[in-house]
Amino acid sequence: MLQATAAFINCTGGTNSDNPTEMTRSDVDEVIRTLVTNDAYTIADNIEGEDKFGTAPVRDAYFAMGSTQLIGDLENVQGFIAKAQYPSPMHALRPEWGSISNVRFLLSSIGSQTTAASLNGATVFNVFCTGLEAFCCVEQDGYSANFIYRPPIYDSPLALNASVGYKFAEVPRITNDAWVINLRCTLSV
Amino acid sequence: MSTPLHGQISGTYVSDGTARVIPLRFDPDYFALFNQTNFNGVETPGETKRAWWFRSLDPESGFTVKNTDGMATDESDFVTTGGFRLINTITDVLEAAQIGTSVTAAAPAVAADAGHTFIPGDNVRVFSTTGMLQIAGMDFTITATDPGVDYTLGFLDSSTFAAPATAISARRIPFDPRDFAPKNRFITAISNAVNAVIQLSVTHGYNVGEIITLRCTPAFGMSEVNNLQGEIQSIDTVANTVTVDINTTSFTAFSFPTSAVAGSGVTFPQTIPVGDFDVLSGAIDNQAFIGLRLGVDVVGANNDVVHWVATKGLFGID
Repeated sequence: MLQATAAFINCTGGTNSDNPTEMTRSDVDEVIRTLVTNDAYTIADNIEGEDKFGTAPVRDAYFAMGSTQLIGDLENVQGFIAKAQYPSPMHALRPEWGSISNVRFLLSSIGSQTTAASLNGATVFNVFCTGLEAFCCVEQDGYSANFIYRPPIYDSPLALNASVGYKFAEVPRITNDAWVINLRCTLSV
Repeated sequence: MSTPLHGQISGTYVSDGTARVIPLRFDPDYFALFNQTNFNGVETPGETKRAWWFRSLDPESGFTVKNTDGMATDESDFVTTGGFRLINTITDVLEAAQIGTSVTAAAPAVAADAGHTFIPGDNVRVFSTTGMLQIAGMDFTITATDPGVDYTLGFLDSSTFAAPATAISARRIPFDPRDFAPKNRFITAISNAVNAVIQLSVTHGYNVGEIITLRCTPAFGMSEVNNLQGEIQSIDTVANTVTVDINTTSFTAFSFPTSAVAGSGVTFPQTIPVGDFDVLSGAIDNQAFIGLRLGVDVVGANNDVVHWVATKGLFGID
């Protein structure tokens, strides 16, 4: 849903001679600037610094959802703080990889990608940077989904064939398109 | 949605002479059509009277029976282009790239590609447009073709570009990208007018009364429209434009950047849908589908009445 309907910004600060380029600090800053200017609230509170070696305070942050393929490029962005460097890691989410400025990155193996969408025909990775209540999932009719399995004894005259079906009664929708931005990037190599 | 092991669907359509997609409730194993209007035809060249498709066939193939040119006798013809193609918007991926040699700097832009297999209505993603990087990475609807010679990007006016492209790669998108609607779209032109006219690169699907927000960076000139929201007053399905209640008369003229500027990285101008379709169907209208595309060799001539049947059953290959 976000890939189909959200506004996007191409990363342009990189050096891989593609459009969009790989992600850089200037691109993240542009997204943050845009969300803040649009009065989007951050989702996560700040994590205060503690006197632990190798850690750093984490700002209150928007969430960015992307692909695991971005591992590596993310860590090369100026100002990246890995989850292990958080003062209190219990505040980090399981899929979280780290933070850059006011954005905390959540990565998934099924993160959004668009095939052959760059200037050079490379895969473009869609990183959805979202503020509080930017989108939602509405469950209709009092339930979200229903998986229906009928064993053979109930589904066919000679008890030979089963049937499966599913019903979805939920829909994701953007509630404020100014509070969610698709930051599109390619990989550095 | 459910997936039956056995099923049959039949229907009728009136052809407009162009390829058409028939959405089905299952992925079929067999499909047949019968052209009622042309069943006794004696056309020259011969028109398809009957056609069949099996799951085991290559895409665009099909068994056809046509009348012999100008005669009432029939002849069989197994076609490998213009036939049937199975579509599943959930699982289908972009097709292989087709490499062309140029794109004109004209209105509309025409891409030269000997041996291309695109047909009008196809959506393609273009890239590696050497010398015309302004459009590299954008999606376009093809509006006309000269089979095996060139195809027209009908919703792109590249006449103001400094130079034509000396290469192009294009991959057919087997479905209108993404399943949720209304969708965001790339902008190819915005007029300076009391009610701005916006042209979009892919068949937009918007309706009168819907609201869109515009995004446009300074690289494309009319950055004043960035984040402006407007209601669609009218649509033009031929030019693929929407007219919105945004006054752009005093704004900087919209224009594509140079190829060099685009190559260093730009964000394409876009329309962002705000809210739902005007009848709130977007929230409940799952636009994903499974179906069959009927190519020009089987779909029938303009105004032909065609009956079809699709079946699904146990399928195996020895």
